[in-house]
Amino acid sequence: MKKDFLKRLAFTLLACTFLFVGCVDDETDETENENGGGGASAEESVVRETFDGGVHQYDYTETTHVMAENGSSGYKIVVEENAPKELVIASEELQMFFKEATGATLPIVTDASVGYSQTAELIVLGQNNVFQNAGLSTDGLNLGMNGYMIKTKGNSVFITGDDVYGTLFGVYGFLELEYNFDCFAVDCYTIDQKAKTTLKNFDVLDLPDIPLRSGGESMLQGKVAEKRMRFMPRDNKLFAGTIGVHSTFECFPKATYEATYPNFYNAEKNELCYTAHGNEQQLALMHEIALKYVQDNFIQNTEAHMITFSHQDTMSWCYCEACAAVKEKYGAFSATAIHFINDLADDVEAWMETPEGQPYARDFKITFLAYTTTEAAPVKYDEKTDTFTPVDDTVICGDHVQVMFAPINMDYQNSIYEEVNASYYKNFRAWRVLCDEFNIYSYHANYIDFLSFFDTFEQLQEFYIFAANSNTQWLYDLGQGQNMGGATGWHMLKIYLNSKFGWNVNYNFNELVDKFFNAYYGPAANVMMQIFQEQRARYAYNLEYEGLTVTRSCYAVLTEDKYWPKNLLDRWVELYDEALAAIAPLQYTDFEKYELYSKNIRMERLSVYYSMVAIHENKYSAEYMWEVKNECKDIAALAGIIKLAEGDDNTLVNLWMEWGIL
Amino acid sequence: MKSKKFSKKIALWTAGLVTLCVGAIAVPQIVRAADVPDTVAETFEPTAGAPRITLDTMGYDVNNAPCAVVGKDYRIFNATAQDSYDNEVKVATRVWLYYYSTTKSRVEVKDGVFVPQQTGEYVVEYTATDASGNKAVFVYAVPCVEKGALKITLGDKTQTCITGEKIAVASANLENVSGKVDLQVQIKHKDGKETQVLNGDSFTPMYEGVYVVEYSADDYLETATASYEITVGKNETPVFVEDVSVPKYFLRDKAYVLPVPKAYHFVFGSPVEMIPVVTVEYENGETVTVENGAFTPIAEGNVTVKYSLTYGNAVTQLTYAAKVVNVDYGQLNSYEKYFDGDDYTMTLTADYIELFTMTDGAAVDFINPLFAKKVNVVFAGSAKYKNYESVELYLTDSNDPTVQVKVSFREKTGGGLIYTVNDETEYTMQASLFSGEKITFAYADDDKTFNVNNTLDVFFGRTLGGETFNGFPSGKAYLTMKMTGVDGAAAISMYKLGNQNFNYNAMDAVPEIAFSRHNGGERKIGEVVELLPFYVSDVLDYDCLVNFYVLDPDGEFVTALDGTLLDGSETEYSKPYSIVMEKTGIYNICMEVSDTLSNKQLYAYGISVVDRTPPKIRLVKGETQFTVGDVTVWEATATDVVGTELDVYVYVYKPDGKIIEVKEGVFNASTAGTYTVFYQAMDAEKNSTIESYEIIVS
Repeated sequence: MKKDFLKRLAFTLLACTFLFVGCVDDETDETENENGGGGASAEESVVRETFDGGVHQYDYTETTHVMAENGSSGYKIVVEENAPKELVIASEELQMFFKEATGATLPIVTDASVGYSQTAELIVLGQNNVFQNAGLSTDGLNLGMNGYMIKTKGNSVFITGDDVYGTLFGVYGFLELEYNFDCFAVDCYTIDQKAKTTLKNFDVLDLPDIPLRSGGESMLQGKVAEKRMRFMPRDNKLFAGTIGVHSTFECFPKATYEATYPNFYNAEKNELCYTAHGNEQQLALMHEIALKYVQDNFIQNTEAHMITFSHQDTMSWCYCEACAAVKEKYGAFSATAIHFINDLADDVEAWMETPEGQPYARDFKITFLAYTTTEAAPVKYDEKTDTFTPVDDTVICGDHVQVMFAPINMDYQNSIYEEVNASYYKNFRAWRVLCDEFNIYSYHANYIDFLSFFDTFEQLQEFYIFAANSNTQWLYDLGQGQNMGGATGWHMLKIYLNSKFGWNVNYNFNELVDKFFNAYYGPAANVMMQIFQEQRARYAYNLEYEGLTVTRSCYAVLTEDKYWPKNLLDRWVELYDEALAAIAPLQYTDFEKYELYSKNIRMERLSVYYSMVAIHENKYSAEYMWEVKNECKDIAALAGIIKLAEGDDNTLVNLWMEWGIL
Repeated sequence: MKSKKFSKKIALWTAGLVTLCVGAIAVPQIVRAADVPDTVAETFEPTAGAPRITLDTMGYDVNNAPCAVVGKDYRIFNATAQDSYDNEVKVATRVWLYYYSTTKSRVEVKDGVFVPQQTGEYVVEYTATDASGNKAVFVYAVPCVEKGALKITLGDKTQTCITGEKIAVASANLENVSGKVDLQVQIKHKDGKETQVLNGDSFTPMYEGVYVVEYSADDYLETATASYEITVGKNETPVFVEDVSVPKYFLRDKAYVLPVPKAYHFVFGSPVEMIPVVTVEYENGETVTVENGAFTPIAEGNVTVKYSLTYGNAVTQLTYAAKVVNVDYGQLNSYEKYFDGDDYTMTLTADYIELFTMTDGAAVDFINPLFAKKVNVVFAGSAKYKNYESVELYLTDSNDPTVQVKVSFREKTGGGLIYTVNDETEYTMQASLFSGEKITFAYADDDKTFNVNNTLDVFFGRTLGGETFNGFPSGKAYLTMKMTGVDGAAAISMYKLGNQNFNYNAMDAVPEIAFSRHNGGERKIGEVVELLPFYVSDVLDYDCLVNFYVLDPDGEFVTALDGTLLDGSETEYSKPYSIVMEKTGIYNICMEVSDTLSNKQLYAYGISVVDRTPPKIRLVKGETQFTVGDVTVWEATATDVVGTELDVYVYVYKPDGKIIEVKEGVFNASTAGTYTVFYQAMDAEKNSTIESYEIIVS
């Protein structure tokens, strides 16, 4: 492992400084702490971070030049010849939405057919010939994979990233600035209509606060809405080899090695042994195999910069003498992984400097999991100064090593600054002194119950701020990964907020919520907001007084009488009826909107209905329960909700059978 | 978009809207605002958070209020108003003529009464405005007509009678009624010796002298009265003032307590109670005197139960004919002896009792009356002795022989069974009288329907005598079977009555219990529940011992509203009791029934009392506009349905979407924006209430 101690030390000091740079106004924080209760930190010494490292520069001035008027426009959309798929999508999206907003259809042309001039009326996507000829450049802007620039030159607008995704997201950025475009779900977006669009003198630079964001919701994957919400698909564009997590057995398949090299694995054979049980020779062989694995994947995938070398999904590790000794010394199992991966990264770097490896060289990252048994970081903690230091420099992650922090045991219902999350907050801060770049795998859903309301809104924005401050490169929220169409329990709002905060952690929470409710529920927005706020207020009470504050909250049991009294559920059902009544007139004036809002309201009501049946069934008449259960089945079918919980057997079909309605 | 307060419909406040008094209704906040023309001076727009007006409509439909009459006082419905913040809100009441026109004019209302001076439509308008200026308006219409005063016209009057004899009172015809009318008839002795409230159409004067029959009719507007007198002379003979129920059959060696009818003499012009002498005369002429009603028959045969009153030379008697039957009382299996028919031979077999006759038209009775709520007769025509044409089945009320119904069965030519109801309507079904196949006759007194073999339900609309059939008033009916067209050996096989099988091996069945209406289920705390009477029936032993008791959720005996401790010692199961659901949990209503042979049946049902009424949160209104800094939230108290004070939990939803709990009434609003304050209270039964209001911080 290459050592660069001074560099590591400098970063350590910087990380500590960074923490304090990110402080909130102490006065405010103390005041919040005084009030205590749900949402406020229990400890006055906890500093709630803010993030001011974002680049969201939306400068423009108006001109009088007309881009479109009364459904007519002289502008063209320009893409490169043989444009990659994402650029084609970008151009088609721009064409479609521009038409919806203005009535004007812009033709899509290639850069072979047009050239730049001061008077040319072009919307140029990507860094094609026209872009070059206009004398524009993105050098020094550090756009990354998703950031974009929008510039006006002459009468033309140039939208580009350094990657096709940046350009695509730039299109949505342009539409947002011009027409307040926003996407809330697969079947819900809003865009203003303007009779006249005049050219803006754009000087826009927009970089996401979390450079790469993927949504763990099956309902989005592969859909254009995924792009509109600025999520990156979790695919081989991001990761070479296994996408995301649990790849060690890809590298060391048991079928190949277990019999001959049992020392590669722990005693249970469900995890690797990163010390080969102390056998130096076999450890060297492990490194060779691992290097080959990385090489093969980088040769095969010339685009991805990340490769994961992360352990299996168990609560296990290796407890052999060699590993135990490391654990003893460093106080954490993760030390064995760090050592191994640091050496692996050095080997990969060295290979990339050879003639054979050079063609495949890139600024690569090997990412490993800080998860379950490796959640703890190998650091020393000074309680007096509340600071962390690496046990030694061998556990400082190399330049090409990333930690994927996956705090599954956290209480996502409470702020990360709350007492219940103290150890996770501490852990993550500890990791910050060992690593300067992270990925995050988060769990803002309840995996044993997709239908009940699971309130993670309290900490959502804070979590993103914390992630941004941690130099998180990729953030993946597992969500309700297995539900294909819709969701209930305000989870659709959660997905929207994930998409927004991933881009800009400093968006105004309530403004986003208001926007979502107006778009998603139309005239029923007010009533739905009342239900939402009341349920959140009840949830806050449950956390404080009914024992709902628990670690590993994503597996908390939510269907309890004490959390959801019958009469509150009845009250909310009546409010849902009001919501449906509020949209009823749309049946005659805008049936499409009526259907959308109706589906959305009924889909949200499913959560309350489910709680009524699961908790209070015997308190209702059989006839009413029959009605309620069948409505659950109908709306779930309409909305594409198919799973009750994670796991192949936890389908709603099984629930309907249990309910006797199938 | 700001989060706004919502127009709260009635149902949102709490799950159980309190009805302020009988007949009160909670009305929508705004009615007919759209009906008011723009040209009318005052136009009311519905406002969010407006008070809720509740009217006491005294049982009337507000959309169909009683007519007013020109010149007569008209009382308008009383109204109250309330909203969550201001609690009680004053209601302004006005009455208008021509309300919907430009010539609308007000009518004076004094103490809730106005006096219309002309015909037409009057509109009563209620207005309630809270401290925030939120206004609620409600109107309803009152038509006004011209008509005469409420009047009572009496029918034919009988104005002389003697004490102790029932006399019909005159019928009353009412004219010029407004709204609902309540007619009361009271009969008073002029010297104050007694007063009776008429029940039915007659009464029995107990004192010599003059009675005044007073009629009083109250409609919505006024009261009318009428009266006449009856002169009552002295009855020189003692009188029984009631009938009693004496069994048609007595079981030899069974101890009975004979009922004693009330009796009086009026020699002095006033009733003096008499205890009749009770005797029972046997067929052989032997007469026994019954002391304190205790009678144990000692010999079979016909008997006469006689009640005698003697005063001076005057004698009055009530007699009842009965028969003593020996069923080997107290022993098992003499089931055949429970059938009595002089022309029948009863034989108990391995499967049934054979009722054999060779006499046409001979009848056989089951000596115990059957429980009329649920009659079940399973019989068959004998496959061996089928020299007859039909079997007739009669059910006769145990007290009133005129209440009788009949169903007769005969074989249909070519196959099938025909049954005829009261010699009138015929029905056909797949069955046979002569094959020995069982026929089940089931009757339910609640519906007054019967069915044969569980096929068609047939309604007994009339008695055999052609009168309207209203069920068996005594709750019991004697079963009589008769065979007609007998020209040789004829027999019926009787398999079962009620739940009692008839064969060698059949055990004495346990008593059955039935309810007129089961009132278990879920109730609210504080609710008064009437425990309806239930009925006990034992085919062989209709005097069962019943232990009826009620346990509260703590296992304690319950005291009924009339003061009876429902612990089984003095509770009468045939009487309704009202109990108050004072505690949450399960009330157990238990009946243990046992017959002479100690066959026991325990039946119990539960009434679950659950407090489903959410607490009430009262807010003390305060400021809603603040600048950045400390904010004081409104004070709040909460009580549950029984008035217990509860904790109130206060949360604030901040502009950044975070929620904090406010424990000391003050929180710091560090940024401008809209804050929603939520109040939550929960009672012991986990009923919860949420109230909220908004604060604007600038």
